[in-house]
Amino acid sequence: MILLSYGTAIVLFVIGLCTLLFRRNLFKIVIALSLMEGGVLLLITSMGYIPGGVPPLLPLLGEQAVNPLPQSFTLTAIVIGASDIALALAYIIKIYHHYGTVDVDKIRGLRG
Amino acid sequence: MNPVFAVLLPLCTAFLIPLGFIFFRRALPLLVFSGGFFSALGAGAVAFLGWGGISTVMGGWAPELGIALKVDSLSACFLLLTSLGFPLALLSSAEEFGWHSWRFYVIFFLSWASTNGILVAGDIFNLFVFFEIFSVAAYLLVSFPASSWQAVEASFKYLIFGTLGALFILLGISYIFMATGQLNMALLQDFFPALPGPTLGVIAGCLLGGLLVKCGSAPAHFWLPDAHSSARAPVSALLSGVLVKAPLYALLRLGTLFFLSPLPRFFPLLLFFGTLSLGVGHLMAMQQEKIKRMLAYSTVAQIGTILLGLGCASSLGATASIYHVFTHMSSKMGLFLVAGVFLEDRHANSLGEMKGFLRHRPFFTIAFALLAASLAGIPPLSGFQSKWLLLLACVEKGYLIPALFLLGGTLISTAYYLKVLGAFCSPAEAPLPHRRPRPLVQGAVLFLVLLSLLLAVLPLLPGGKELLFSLPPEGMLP
Amino acid sequence: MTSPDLLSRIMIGLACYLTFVALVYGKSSFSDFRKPLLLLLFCASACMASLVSTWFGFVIWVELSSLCLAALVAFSDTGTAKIYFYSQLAGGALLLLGAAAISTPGIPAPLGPVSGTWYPLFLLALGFKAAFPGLHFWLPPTHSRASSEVSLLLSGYAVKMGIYGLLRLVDKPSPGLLWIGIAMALYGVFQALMQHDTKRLLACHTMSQLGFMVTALATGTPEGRYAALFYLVAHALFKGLLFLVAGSLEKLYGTRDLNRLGNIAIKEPLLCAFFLLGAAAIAGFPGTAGYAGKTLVKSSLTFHTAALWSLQLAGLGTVLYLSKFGGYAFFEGLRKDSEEIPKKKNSLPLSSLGAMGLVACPLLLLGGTRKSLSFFFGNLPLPDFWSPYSLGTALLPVAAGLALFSFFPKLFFPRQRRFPDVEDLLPSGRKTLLPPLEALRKFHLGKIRMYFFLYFFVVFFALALFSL
Repeated sequence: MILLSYGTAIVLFVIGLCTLLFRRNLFKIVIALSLMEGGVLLLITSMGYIPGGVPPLLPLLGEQAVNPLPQSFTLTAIVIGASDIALALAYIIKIYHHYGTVDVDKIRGLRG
Repeated sequence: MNPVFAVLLPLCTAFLIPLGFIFFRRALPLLVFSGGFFSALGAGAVAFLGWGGISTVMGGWAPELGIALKVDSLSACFLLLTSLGFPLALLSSAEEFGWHSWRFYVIFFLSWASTNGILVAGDIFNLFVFFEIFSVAAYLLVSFPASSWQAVEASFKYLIFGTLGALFILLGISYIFMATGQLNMALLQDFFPALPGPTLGVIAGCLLGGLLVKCGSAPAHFWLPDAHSSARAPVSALLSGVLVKAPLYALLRLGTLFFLSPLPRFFPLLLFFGTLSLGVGHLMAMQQEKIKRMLAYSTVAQIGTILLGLGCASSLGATASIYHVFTHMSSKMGLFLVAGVFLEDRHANSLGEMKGFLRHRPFFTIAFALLAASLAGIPPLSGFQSKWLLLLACVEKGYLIPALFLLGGTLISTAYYLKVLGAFCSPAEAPLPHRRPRPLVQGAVLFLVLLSLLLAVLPLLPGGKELLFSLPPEGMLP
Repeated sequence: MTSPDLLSRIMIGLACYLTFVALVYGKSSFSDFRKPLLLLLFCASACMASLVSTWFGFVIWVELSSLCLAALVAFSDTGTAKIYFYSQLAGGALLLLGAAAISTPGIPAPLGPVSGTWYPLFLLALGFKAAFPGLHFWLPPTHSRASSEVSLLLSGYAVKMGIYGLLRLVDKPSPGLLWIGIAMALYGVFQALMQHDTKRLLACHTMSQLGFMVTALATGTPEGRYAALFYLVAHALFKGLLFLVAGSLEKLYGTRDLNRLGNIAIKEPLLCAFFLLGAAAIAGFPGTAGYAGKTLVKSSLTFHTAALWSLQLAGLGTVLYLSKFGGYAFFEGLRKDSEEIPKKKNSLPLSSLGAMGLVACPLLLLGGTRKSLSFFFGNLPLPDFWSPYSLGTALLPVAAGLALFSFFPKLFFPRQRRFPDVEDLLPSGRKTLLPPLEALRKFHLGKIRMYFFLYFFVVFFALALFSL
């Protein structure tokens, strides 16, 4: 069960990585970042799982709650990811105003 | 003194500025400057009082549960660096941007708060959170104001690259938690030797990969020249002088805490990347025609120099690196500020057009000459002293090729700085427009020159050498 | 810093004296305070370089003195100044590496002999300063294109700091260094014979004389070291005098080319007298400091016959090129017609003549009396200067050279064009370095996907390296 979670996380990360490397649309790059982040966060949350555990909310529904620490990390990291992506999208709009395209291979004004 | 004040004071100032803009618009300069002053004072106080070592946990929780804040001589030293660097950048940016763009000051103080947070963080997830605030603030600082397409493109590339790096750091941290169940750095130090090889390797690889991007070291340095050259001059000065040192601190801290004994291979790889940065940085800087881009590539090379010292994995190497951090901060900030003044006077696209500044602005040209000589490594200035210590550290460990790269870097950097100075000192072809008086920048540059000279004599002062050698964290090999 | 020993005291004295002469010579040509200031700074850093007792301190002060000299050369020719500065900086950097290698942190390495593994590095580094063959590419252009007083300091003192370093470094017999010295002596004289630019001719000859000093100190004996030291001082004086003469010729007639000078002896008798004195000193005519120096060097080499005969050959070459210089500049000249060479200035300023006199006097003083020599040598037994053997070996090259020159004058015609030397390789070296730099620059092409590829490759490499 837990291996499925880890596997999904890794698959998400790799899909994000491949999208980042092989897709040229700026929006897809941002989506790729989001995917990679999702993978990592899934990994973090899954690692807190204790077999037979219940959600870490009081009053407890069972004997043992899953580890709440990774879940708090995930919440923080989601916030950080959201702000990064918002900023990236704002920059894409500005870049589009200047270049007229969202093809990342054409965004090469600074080089050398 | 609770280390949280180093973070709290700039953070409060950042949140008070919008209120100040809405309600007390006339008092905004006073608010900003007093906020800067008290933040610097607070961080400085934390540094001095925490020199011997302070360790607190927020909220009174137990160390493995709560947010730990820790200050020791290394953190205190870097806190001193930010307390010196940020106010100078604040003065210059106040002169550059004026008071209409209050959002800039909010971001500025947020980046100050997060940099201090990185320096006092005692547990590893807190480090990550502060790293992210620091990065987002840096992306925003680079792209300010968004009217320049170069700044936006540079900031976007920095963002993508930086987020990638942050993801790898997050991966590394999550593996650490998975393997040990612990997040407090001091407690983790005891867990690491017991970890199995592959786990340790994956953690090291992820952390190294992530931090390399943030530092701007060679294989991941491509965002740095764009970002540091497209930003406005005071922001470039801040970025190159102070903001790029926080990831180096993190690398030093995590490296010595976690990987010194369990994974000795970590450090030679760091040395390799440092040497690569040295080579790439200096060789690219030599070919640049625009001053700010040249200075940005020079930053890449200096980061390589600092990594060289870290990679020696000895306390002499760490001392040399820290000394070079200060030297580079004082020189590079001054160089960027002067370059900004000159570029504003004459909007030149190549070095050949930047002529006649010796007569037009003599103080700035002489300051540029002095700081460039220090950075290039001309005796007896501070850059030479730190390079000598680095040479000693490298040769002590038997790393001859990095030492040769270091010396070659001195030659090449002398060459390109002489080229720039030659352009500055030659007579102007077209008359220069009137000079806008720049008292604040002049004061900042004067302070940096004095700081550089003070650093040059520091090893000669009584107690100076002991001070330097007491800086590396305990546990480093002699 | 301990109290300076004989070597340091002589170097300091020489530095101060030469700077004084340079100041006197150039007094009339200084337009503002910059040149005298640089000359004084050079003197100060040179003295400090001789006073310090660690390799680290030595490197610092030698680099500072090179900086001052490069700035002085830049007044005449910036390109040459750059070549000089970067070559000296390279030598200084290697020397710094050597100093770092042999010192432990906290204890700087004393300025003394160095053990086995690092010895070649020190030789390479000092070779940049002392113009070993191959590393000498900066010497001819710098010494010839700088103005006279700067050439005086360059040939008279700056290269001697390399010899000073070698004197401190070497305390055992060193066969490798012996062969380097012989090669320098012969190659320098060969190049000197091929030149038609007066100052360049003198510059190439400096390399040859440095070979004499290196050979002497490579014997490792106290006699050899003292011989090198004395020859160092003597060479500074007579080469300085000749550079001042060549510089005065340039000032008066506006040219350094032997093809165009001639018949000056009648017009400038004082200058001709100075030239003859300097030439006699270099050639080793008895009674001058040069004679004393050469005799000392030869007497220290009594066991190295190959070296002895090579130096004799070099002496022969010296006389030949001096005859060429004297003959074509002062006497015959190629201008058989009575056309006068236009004079740029009417006469030399008194300061120049005074400076030349200042240099000429010690040449005679040091050569003549035994008392002055014993000041240099302390208690060592001096070879007999007036024995028939010494006189014979000194006069032999002089006679042979003069004979060769008078019987085969065509052989020593000044050439029309420049003879190739190592420095001609510099532009082609620069051309080969450009493509890799261009490639590096093109690599930073701004394509962010390429950056990602590279970054991920590196991260996976690091991961693999650490986990396996």
